[in-house]
Amino acid sequence: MTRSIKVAAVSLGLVLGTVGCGNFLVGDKLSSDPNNPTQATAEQLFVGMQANMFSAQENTVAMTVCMWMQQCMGVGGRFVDQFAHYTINEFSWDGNWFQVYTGGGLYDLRKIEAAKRAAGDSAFLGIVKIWEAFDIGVAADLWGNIPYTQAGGSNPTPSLDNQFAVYDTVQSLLSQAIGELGPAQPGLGPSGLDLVYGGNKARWIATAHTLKARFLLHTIEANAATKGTIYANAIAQATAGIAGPAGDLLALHSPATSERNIWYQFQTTTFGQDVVAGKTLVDIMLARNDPRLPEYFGRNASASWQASHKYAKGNRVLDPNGNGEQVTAVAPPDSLSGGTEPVWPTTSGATTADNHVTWTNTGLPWGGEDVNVPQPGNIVSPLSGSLRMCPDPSSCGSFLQPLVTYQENELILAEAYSTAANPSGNDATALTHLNNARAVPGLSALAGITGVALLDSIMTEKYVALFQNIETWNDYRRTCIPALVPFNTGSANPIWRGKIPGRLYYSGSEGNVNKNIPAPGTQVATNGFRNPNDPADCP
Amino acid sequence: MRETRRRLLPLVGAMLLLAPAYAFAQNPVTINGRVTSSAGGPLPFAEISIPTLGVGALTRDDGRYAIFIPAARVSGQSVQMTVRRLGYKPQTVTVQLTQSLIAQDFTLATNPLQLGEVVVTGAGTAQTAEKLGNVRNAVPAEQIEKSNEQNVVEALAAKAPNVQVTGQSGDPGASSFIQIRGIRTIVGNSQPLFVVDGVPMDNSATSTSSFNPHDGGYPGEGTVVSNRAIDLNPNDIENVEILKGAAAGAIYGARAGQGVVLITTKGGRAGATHFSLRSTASFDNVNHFIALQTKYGQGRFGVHADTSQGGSCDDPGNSVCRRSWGSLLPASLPVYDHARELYETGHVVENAMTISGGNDRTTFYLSGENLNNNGTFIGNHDLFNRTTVRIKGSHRPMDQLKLSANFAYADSRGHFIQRGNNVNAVQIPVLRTPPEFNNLPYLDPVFSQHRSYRFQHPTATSLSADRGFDNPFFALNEQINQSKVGRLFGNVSAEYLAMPWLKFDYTLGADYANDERLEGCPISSSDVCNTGRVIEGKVVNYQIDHSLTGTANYTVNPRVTGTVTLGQNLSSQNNRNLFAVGRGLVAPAPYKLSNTVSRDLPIDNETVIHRESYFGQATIDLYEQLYLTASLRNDGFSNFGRLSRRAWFPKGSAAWTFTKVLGERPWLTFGKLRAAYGAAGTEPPPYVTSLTYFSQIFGGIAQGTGVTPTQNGLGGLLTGGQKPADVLRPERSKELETGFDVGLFRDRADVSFTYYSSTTVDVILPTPVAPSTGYSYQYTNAAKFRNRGQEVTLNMRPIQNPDYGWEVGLQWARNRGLVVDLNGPQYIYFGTGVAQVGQEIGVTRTQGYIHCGVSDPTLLGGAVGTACATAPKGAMYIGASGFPVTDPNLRILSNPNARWTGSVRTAVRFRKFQLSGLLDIRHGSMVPNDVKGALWSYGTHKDTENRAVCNGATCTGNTKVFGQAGWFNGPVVGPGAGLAVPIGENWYRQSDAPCPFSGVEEACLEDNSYVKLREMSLTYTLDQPWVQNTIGASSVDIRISGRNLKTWTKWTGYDPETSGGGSTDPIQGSEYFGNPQTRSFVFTVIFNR
Repeated sequence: MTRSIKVAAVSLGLVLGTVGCGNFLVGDKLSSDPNNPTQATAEQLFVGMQANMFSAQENTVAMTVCMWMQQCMGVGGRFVDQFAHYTINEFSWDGNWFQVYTGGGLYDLRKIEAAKRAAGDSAFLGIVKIWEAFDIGVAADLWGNIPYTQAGGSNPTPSLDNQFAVYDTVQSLLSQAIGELGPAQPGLGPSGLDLVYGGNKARWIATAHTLKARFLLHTIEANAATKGTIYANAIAQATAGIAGPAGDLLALHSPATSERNIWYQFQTTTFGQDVVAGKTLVDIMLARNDPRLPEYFGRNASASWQASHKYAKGNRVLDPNGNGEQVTAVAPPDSLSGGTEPVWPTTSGATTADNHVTWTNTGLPWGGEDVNVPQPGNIVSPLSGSLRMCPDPSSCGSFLQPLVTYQENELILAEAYSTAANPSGNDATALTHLNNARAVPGLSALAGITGVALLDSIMTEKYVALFQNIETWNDYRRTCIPALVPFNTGSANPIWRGKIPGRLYYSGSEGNVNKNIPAPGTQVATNGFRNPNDPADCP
Repeated sequence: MRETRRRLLPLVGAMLLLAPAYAFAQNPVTINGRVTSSAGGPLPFAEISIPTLGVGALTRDDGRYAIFIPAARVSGQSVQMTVRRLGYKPQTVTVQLTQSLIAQDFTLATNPLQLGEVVVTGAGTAQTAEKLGNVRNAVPAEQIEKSNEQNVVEALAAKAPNVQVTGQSGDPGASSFIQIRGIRTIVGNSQPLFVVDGVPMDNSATSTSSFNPHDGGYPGEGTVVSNRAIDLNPNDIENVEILKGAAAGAIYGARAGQGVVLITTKGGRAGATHFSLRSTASFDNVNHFIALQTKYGQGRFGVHADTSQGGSCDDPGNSVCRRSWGSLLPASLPVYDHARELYETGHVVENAMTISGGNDRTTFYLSGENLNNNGTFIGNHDLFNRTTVRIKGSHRPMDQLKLSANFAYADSRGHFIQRGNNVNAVQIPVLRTPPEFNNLPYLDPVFSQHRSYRFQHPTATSLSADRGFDNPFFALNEQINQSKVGRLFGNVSAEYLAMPWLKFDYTLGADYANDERLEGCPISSSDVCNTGRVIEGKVVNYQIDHSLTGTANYTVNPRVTGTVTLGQNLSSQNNRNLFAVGRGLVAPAPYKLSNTVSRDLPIDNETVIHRESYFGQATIDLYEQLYLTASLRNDGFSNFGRLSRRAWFPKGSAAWTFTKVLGERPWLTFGKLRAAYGAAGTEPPPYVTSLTYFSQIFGGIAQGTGVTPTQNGLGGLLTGGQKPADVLRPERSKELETGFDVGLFRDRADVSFTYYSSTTVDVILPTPVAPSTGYSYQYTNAAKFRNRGQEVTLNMRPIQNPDYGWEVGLQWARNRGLVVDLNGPQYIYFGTGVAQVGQEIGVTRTQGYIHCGVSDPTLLGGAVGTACATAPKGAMYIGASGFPVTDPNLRILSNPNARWTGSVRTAVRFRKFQLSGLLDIRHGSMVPNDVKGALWSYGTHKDTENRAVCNGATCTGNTKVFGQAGWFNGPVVGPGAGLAVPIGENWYRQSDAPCPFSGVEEACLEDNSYVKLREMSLTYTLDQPWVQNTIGASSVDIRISGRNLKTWTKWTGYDPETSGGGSTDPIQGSEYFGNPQTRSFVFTVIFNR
């Protein structure tokens, strides 16, 4: 018993001797994260938000749209190629969904708005609202019904707002912004923090009008009965829209590693090299010798002719006329070229003999990949080597990606005025606007086209002009121009019914938690995997 | 911390003053004798001790010992003298110290059940084996040594049931992963706590790639990494005790949720100085290669690519040259063995020396080791060199006080080879090279420029051109991938016997590691390394651990005795990383940040965790047959949530030696029932309770493309994806374990059986939240997991003679994990698997083909349901084209967890020869073989040698019918069922079959069960008199052994024991272009004196 008391006493002493370090568990680097900022200003969030918006317009969705619209194509058998063949799942665009809502997306947009509303900076607020409209408007284009009114709040499983309700909100946000950017409104705006227009209010107002027009068009297909009104409204908005190329909304980039255009960054990876030129777009551009070819795509024959050099059949060089010359025959004993450069034929298909080598003029040195008929690799143009990837060798990745442009605005007007789309339109006015858009890259003006042919020219021009822009998909889903042949080989997945997918799978991460998201199989089975604003399949 | 020490010092000082005066003097006493086994042979290394005097000795190789007791401590008293040796029953005799020379011989009976052996049970507590309420899993030094592993973790493979060890690959210095009783958590790396001599040891593994987010930066690329337990010299290990579950490890509280590995290092013992020199030479080679085709060449759609100068194969962006779907190669054309061309025989040379000894007051142990491992890649590029020294000593300034110090320094240097999902690595390029392309020379003979199969003719102007994939020999020879670690770890401790019944132990441990990393890839490498790149950085880990325990023995009466232990532990764990990536080498060398054109935003991270814990344990021994233990620990950790700063972890166990009641029978020599219940935890990661803003790269497509929130020189931030945790408690595993241990047939056999059931509640998860709420995840105590299993050990010693003997040991274990609840999300991805309610933890959730009864019948407009109406469950739906159809709904496709694991150990002894072998078995696990899928797509896999020839739109030849003749055998339904379809590029490259590129994993699933002949060794002992006379050694052991000699498996990848993520991925078995495993032939000579 005595011993037990001793044991107890010693135990107690031991405990008492060592307690009392109350502050051992709290303090600097223990209680809070020493590695990341725990505070951020609205201005810092505003800069980060813009980086988010730029990259969201250039990454996975843009790559997918470019391939599905056959402006680009996937090769190489890896995930890019699989995307081109519609081998996709609920995680294919998970990252883009996060970009819509989380840091840099809707959540931060609302934080910035709250701060600027409280500060009474109406101009700043207006600009942020335009970004919000752009953010959720594009999300509605891609996924249809999306969380909006309950998003970013306390509801852990936000319900889906109808796509048209979101489009209504987009219109109302843009109207508010136009008002808040008015000359009499208070506030200094973001000035230099605005990476697009440097705080220029007039430019933002014009862009807001163009965006209003863009999103109005997205409601046309499902509202055939009122499309005249919608087109009239779109004309009114676009008339107040971006008035010249100087007003284009361009994503800011520089050659700095973390500021480079995502298209370029992806090109520098081996996966990115799996994205090549699409045959549909290249063929359209070749047919009219479009001056944007070197801007969009690298040449598929860039070596120059060499004297007494060995050439194998299939080798290609670029002649001084800018045409591709391909070895189509070699004569024994070997394939040596001559000592002096031959006189190259200038017409496509013409041949010339050069010592033991026969060359054929293959025309302009660009070509695209067909999703259904694999093209010989050496006639497919890469994206690398184009001026968009490297405007010049010292500024690779610094191309300012056009997101909303004067050309788009003019082509919206052209479509809205074209009688084939809008029976109460005016083809002459439509043609004027089409020619305004064509003038930007230096294409000659068209004349005397009307009706369906005019609409086809307008939408084809838009298809070319909006290369790499997600908006191309909206135009196609509405007008089915240009005609595209979906991927459809023997082993194609019958899930897709031989159609180009009409929307994106919802994010798997969202569906994991939010029971309002239907299962992928259900999404496929609903409305032919198309959004509510797209009632009809393209052929 | 500082405050505590101030409080402690006076306490320790007071203890010192309590030391009693020495007893009066007499004559000194020498006790000597010989220890032999009951079989008759001498027993070396038996430990003889007189605990009350603190003196002892170790027997020499002839079994003889001598103990000297100084006169000052002899008073004619009776003392108890105990002899112990591992594997033999201890014996205690009483000796009267009246004569100056006392002879005392011992004959020890074998002790297969290790009864009477003192087992370290953690946090300063110990028990004799028969009193343990938990199953005991001990790995003695001899087994560590015979494994021939450099890494103590790998040495534990197949040593205990339900202790699963997986090596990352055969690279020198590669990490090993250990998992005890299944996956129990998904935070951190789910590794057990490593405790060396009472002090927690850092066993982290950090990939250099993790510090390069711009290029993708994840552990599945880059090089292998070492787990830091590799800094421990295995020769220094005396014993490893594995505390498997919460019930065994509860005394370690919130850090014991994944089990605890207690390592005790060797120490000196009183007696003659003992020398040991061990020299090892090992020859290693790759144990299995991936089969590649050699008939078809580079190209696409049956057309050979233009490989002439300036042709399409000098344009790495050109997809035509990437793959081997070209024409049939002429038989006369030479082809190259890309599967084997990178390898040669590797070597390990290790020399280790130990010197130990001491007298009655002072002991010492010195060891040194030098290990040089040159791995199996050609040349001297894959290396792991380790030099360690350890000094351990103890001194008794007085009978009641023993002071010890134990420090080790390790210099570990690795040079690794890039592997994984990485074009600057060796595996992707070499396995994808077309058979007719010679990768040598890797520099163009004319222009001395890097040439690869996708850029075959570099010229003088090609320096800055991308190569598509690096030439594997270029990557091998021209890169630098280093890790240089300097590490000091050890402790000082004091053991004070305040009163005969009261003992205090104080330990102050320290562990400091500085790991300097350097990765450099040269100019003209492929992809992101094109202009050259340097990654330079440091990982610094240091921790200080202080513990004080007091243990009191009490005796109520001879039948009721026990102990009470109280203790306190404080620890401070710090991690610091500083890394920078430089891009664009100015000059080709050196690989220094200062020699680069630009630098990325540096990574500058630190974490600090403080822990303050109190614990107590009480034991009661009743009637020398019923042993009860109860313990309680209270943990306060700085990384727990603010509102839940402290947590309690209780434990209770009972062991009943029922043979004391039944009496020993010839067929039942010993029997014990045991039951234990306890709780242990897993701590949350630090800093998950605060809201932070994000400044790193985001928003790209694949492999590290992206932008930062800061743009144009303007500082930008984004709200981080982590929603701050409100309340965060440690995760808590509650485990019930029961079982029995019996000795049978006069100890010719023993059987141990254990059943356990553990429930982990408050499982810490980065719980996904709907992105539409503005966040990505939130750490919560949300989930509930369960693990249940059985473990059986059977040891048999059918033949036991002085001259020969035969032993067999069998182990068998199974574990079934279950996700009981996730509290919200349907599933959570972690590592390479997923936790999904109702499924085993860690299963693979991905895409597969449509199958009846598995897939939604409404798919394809209801066609699936119609076709499946009368079909058996699992029947594959075949679309009209004759091919399977991908199910848009992701599902659980396979289970990487083994159905059961086991091992067979056997040892045969004949005179001075010993032969032993160890088989390691894993049964019933399945993972996708993504390497195979990728090589299908590239047309280089052996499977693609039989191929239809495709010309783009159509394919002819090599027709197969899905479901028949070995081609996806099984029932099929649907409009295309029974249709013969050509299988070539259309299937292997263009469809949904190439798993890693399509995300449809079904076609690549493979069973990765295995039976491995892990160890085999033959030892001959020379201890004849001439050995002593000629070379001065008392004995020499000569051993020939093999490691990983043979693997029987259905897995067609390098080895089923491979893991891309290494010890950072809690789910093992999946990998992507990792380096191969090796087997070794090892020659060892050990000199003892």
